Amino acid sequence: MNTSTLNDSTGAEVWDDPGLGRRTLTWLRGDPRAALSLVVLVVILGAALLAPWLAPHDPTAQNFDQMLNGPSAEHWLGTDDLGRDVFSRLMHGGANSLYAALLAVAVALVIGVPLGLIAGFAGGWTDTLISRVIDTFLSFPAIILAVAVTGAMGIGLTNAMFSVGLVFAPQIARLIRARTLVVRQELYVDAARCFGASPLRLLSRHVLPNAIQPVIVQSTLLLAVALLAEASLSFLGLGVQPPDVSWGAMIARGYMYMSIVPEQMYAPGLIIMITAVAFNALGESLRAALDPTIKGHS
Amino acid sequence: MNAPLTPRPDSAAGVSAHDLRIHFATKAGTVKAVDGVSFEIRPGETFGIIGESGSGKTTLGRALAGLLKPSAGDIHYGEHDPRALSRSQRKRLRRDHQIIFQDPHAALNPRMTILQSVIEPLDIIGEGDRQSRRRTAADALERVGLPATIGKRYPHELSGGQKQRVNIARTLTLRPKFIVCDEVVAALDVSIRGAILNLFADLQKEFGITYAFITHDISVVSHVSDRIGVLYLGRLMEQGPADAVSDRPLHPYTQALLSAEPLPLPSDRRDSRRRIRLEGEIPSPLNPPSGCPFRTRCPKAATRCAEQVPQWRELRPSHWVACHFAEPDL
Repeated sequence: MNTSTLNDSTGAEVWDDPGLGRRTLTWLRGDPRAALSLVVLVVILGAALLAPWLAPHDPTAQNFDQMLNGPSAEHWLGTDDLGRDVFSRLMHGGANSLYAALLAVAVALVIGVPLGLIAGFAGGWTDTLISRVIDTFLSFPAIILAVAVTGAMGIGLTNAMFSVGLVFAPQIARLIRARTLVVRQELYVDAARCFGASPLRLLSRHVLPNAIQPVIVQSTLLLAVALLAEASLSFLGLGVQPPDVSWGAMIARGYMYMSIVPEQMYAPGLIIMITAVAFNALGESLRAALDPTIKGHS
Repeated sequence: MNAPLTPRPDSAAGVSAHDLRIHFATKAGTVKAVDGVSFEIRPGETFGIIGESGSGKTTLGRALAGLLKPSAGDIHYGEHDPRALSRSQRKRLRRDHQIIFQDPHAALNPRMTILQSVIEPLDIIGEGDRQSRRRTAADALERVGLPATIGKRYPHELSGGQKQRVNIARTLTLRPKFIVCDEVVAALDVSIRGAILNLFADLQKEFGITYAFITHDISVVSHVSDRIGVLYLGRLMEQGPADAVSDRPLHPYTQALLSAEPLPLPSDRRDSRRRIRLEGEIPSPLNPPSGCPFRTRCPKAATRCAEQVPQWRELRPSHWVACHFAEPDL
């Protein structure tokens, strides 16, 4: 090794960051679970995004000669009740399902994180007000709230998942509020305050980074729940509208022919499960990787 | 440009407190953590504040650092009264009075590298560009005896002594005029306490910093301080030059604290008269005793102590005490 850089009086080179790309590579090399789940997610996402070019069949092309067939060389996962290729629909449906799940969690984070941070950090009547609103939302059955919001805003995948995000937001807010209450008491927050740090800086540099970990894990769990919520809402007819397709809509449709061609329900179910598990494993690894006190990821 | 870590002009500034009161409203009633304390810390000196846990010394320290608003009374930094200043002036004054905490680990954000932590004060006050901030941080780390390479490490990878040095370094980047040292060596191994205390003394010489040195350890405080104030239940019991307070204390409480110090002598060679034992715990500040707060544990207590608050008397030159029975020629 070149020792002269270590003796640089300005310390500039000594402290140079290896860069995000390289750090990510080092992390993935040391964490096979994270690497595997990332590969799985990339494959699923790739298949979903490239479906228009990669899918063997048109997902909406109907063929009434081949309805409710089992798997064959032509149709790998069989055909549905309108003779459409299930495998192609699975690929095309991925984009809608992933979009739906990410949208719901993004809405939950955008609403929940600032609310929880402000409630926990400000305390007093601000906290009381926000906490009561959160409690009110939490006391609603989630699916009823989603149905109500969708009813008010109109039917459609985006509206449906936006309302799922609204349902998730109080969970996120609660989680981060509880952590914020602990972190704001930390001595390093006082130290920064003594240097003259603004409330915004205290929140962004000290409170948020130390309060966010449970939210990262919770978000990955919520992604899985959101995939299922999308399925439920589409099943109820509030989400994806035909001829669009999503995994949830496929389960809803496949359900009706479960006794004839069960793989039509199992296939989207299985892919939802795999995606959910991968998201979760990645979240768990991410939490560990972002915590410098856990050895082996630096 | 100047070398980044040089004393600022007009560096020395004293700090004074006038009838300082800090009360906390709790469900059980009002806690008078600091209850009418006045003192003056002279520019460039070390003012020791001794007290047991519960005496209000940490609350007092936080108020001196500007982390707590006094309920009544005021604190002046040099000739400045922060409350009389505009917002922007107050912000500028902020860097002048800093605090270093007892727990060096908890004072560092676990998710920031040492460099990020040391640079942060400069980022906040917006002094210099990125390069000059790094240089100042490197200088500060070097000045407290740490290699610059430590900058890329995280707090949990450092020893307690190293972490306290980091805390000193980052405070130093602001070149404050006044630092509250709140039990700064209490959490450290005995073997490195001396080194850290010497570092504080060196920095004082070099930068002309004024210290308020808060501790429960009377042997430490008498070594490092020019003058000492003894705090009990939020009030000053005694105040005077360090050697006078530690060699010829006037207040029975100070005498008791001193006699509680272990002596490096076999028991039969110790002067048994010197030993004053304190019975019980410090009373709750929720419900302090009437009259003299120390009377419930004082060997000399009489009825008068319950009825009258002892006057703050200058029994010897610049040696003050609050006790009815204190005699100058003890």
